[in-house]
Amino acid sequence: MLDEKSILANKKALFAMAVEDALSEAGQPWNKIVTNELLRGYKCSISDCIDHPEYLKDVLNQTFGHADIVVISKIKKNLGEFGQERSVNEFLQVLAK
Amino acid sequence: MSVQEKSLTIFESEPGSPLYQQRTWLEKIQNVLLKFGLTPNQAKVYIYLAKVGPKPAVEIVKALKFPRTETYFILGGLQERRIVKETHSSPAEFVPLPLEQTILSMINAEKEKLDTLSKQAEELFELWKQIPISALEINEDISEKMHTLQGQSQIFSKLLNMVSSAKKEILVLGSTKDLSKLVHSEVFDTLSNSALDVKIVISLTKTIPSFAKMIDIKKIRLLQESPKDDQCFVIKDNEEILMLLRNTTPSDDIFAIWSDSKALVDSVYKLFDHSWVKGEVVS
Repeated sequence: MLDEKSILANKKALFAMAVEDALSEAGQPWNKIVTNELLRGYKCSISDCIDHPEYLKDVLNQTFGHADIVVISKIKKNLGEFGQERSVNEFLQVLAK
Repeated sequence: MSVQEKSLTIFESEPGSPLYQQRTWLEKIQNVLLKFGLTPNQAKVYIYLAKVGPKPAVEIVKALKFPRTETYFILGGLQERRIVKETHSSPAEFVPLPLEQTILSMINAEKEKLDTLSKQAEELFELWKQIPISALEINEDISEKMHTLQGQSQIFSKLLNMVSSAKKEILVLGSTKDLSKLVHSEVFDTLSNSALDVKIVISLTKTIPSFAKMIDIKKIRLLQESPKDDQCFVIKDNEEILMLLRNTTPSDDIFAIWSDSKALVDSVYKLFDHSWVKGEVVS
């Protein structure tokens, strides 16, 4: 688990936190399932998905089907004003396509 | 009621409730903070910390019901602005600057921005002075232009403009018939009093026409032949040319082209030069 100093210094970690929290809210196993699927299919972690939002979009769609929209909405809510940062905003736009 | 609950209730209180008046005051403070560049949620977190005192992030999340991610992001932004500091304790607490100091700090930050802009403006003015006007005129010089002029008024106006703006010389070639059309343009009056180097070649004639008698005869040569019967043009400083076209038709319908094309001016200049050498000196 990341400490607060790392979180504040690392925007990738903040982004991963938003996704992990959204998955945890959906239910206990989903965080692990999505993490495993990303590793198996794309050899990457959740935090890497800020540069490759299409990987996360694909895994969320495979895992949740049409209900992926609920998780995406939670991610967006968790990001809040952080979602207005250009890189994060671009990530959200790809995820919402 | 705990302090955190009280604070939360203030932010969400409804009109008519006892805390609504305090909510409007907080919103006024929030609006002022927005003017200093804080985001709405940065302002809320700052106000919460400034009123309640230092708190760890988890307490802020609970009190303001913001997501963890956004709360950490907001705290990061407030730390960058140096109006919130983080303690080295575990868990870390976030300590706000008092409101007075925060406002002063933000005013100073804005002043620093203005100072920086002011210095950049001075540098800009210096650079501006160093750029010569000619650097911006290059394109205009390179791009040659050609205009068509129709009717006496347009042509006469351009002719007078050429004559009055000439710096060195004005060269005129044309037959008596063609040049007589320019009598009403006052070009000959202007040329007669001009200090410019004026040369006029009148073709297809053996005598000076009356309209040209006001001009010094040394400036006139007569050419009994013409390379082409309807040749009539005026050259200014070897830079601009006005050439009458369709000049055998009635004067109302005369048509001309004006150009500063170097190639065109050069070639017509050579034709004039040849005609001047070949022309007879008036005795």
